[in-house]
Amino acid sequence: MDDFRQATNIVDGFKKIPGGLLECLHAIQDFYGYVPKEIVDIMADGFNISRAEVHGVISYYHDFKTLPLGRNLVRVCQAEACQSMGSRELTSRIVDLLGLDLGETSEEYTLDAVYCFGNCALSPNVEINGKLHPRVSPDNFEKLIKEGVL
Amino acid sequence: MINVYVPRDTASISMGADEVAASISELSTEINVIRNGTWGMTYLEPLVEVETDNGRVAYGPVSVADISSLYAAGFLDGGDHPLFRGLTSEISAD
Repeated sequence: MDDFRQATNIVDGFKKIPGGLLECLHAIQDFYGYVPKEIVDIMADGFNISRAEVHGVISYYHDFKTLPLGRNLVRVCQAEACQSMGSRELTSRIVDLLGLDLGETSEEYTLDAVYCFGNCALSPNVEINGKLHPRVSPDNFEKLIKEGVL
Repeated sequence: MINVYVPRDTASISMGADEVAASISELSTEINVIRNGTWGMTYLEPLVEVETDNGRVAYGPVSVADISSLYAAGFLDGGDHPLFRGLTSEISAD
């Protein structure tokens, strides 16, 4: 288990920057894959703000995760354009295939809802491990997940 | 050098523009691939443009599988091809 020593170095790199907390959180999440709760204290000390303020920023942004994710991150759009092109049926299939509801995590997968990737012209959209896939039908999702998942 | 434009907006990348750009770069050292924004004609993305003496001509939607036939058709000189769309500025929606 990491003793979070690296977290102190990361925080040191941002603490002098005005508004550096957000950048720091990104760096922490890039390094650990999520924002461990143990690091909230380190950030509060580094930026000389309260733990509540750090927690407030973390909890405001859905993309900051406070628990480790599955090995693969699947994000499926639930916004209007994708819904009009069948994302509800697609989501049902994904839920069945992964055995997870939206927002749930297993050892292998994390399944998240997203409200618009900005790729509405090519709906419905699914992102697998950072790569956006347009016009995903329920039938080709299974093929995609075999190709995209390590 | 021949300037070839390949968009790098979300829609184009999701349709494989990064792979298309890499594939075009490998054709010749005389090609200068420029990544630009989209014209908004998402149905044609990735829309590859070539700067010719007559202006910018467009091909789309281009996939990696099309690159060899585009090259054979002389797309670097604005050659004809099933994906040829003419001058970009004259593309109409019909």
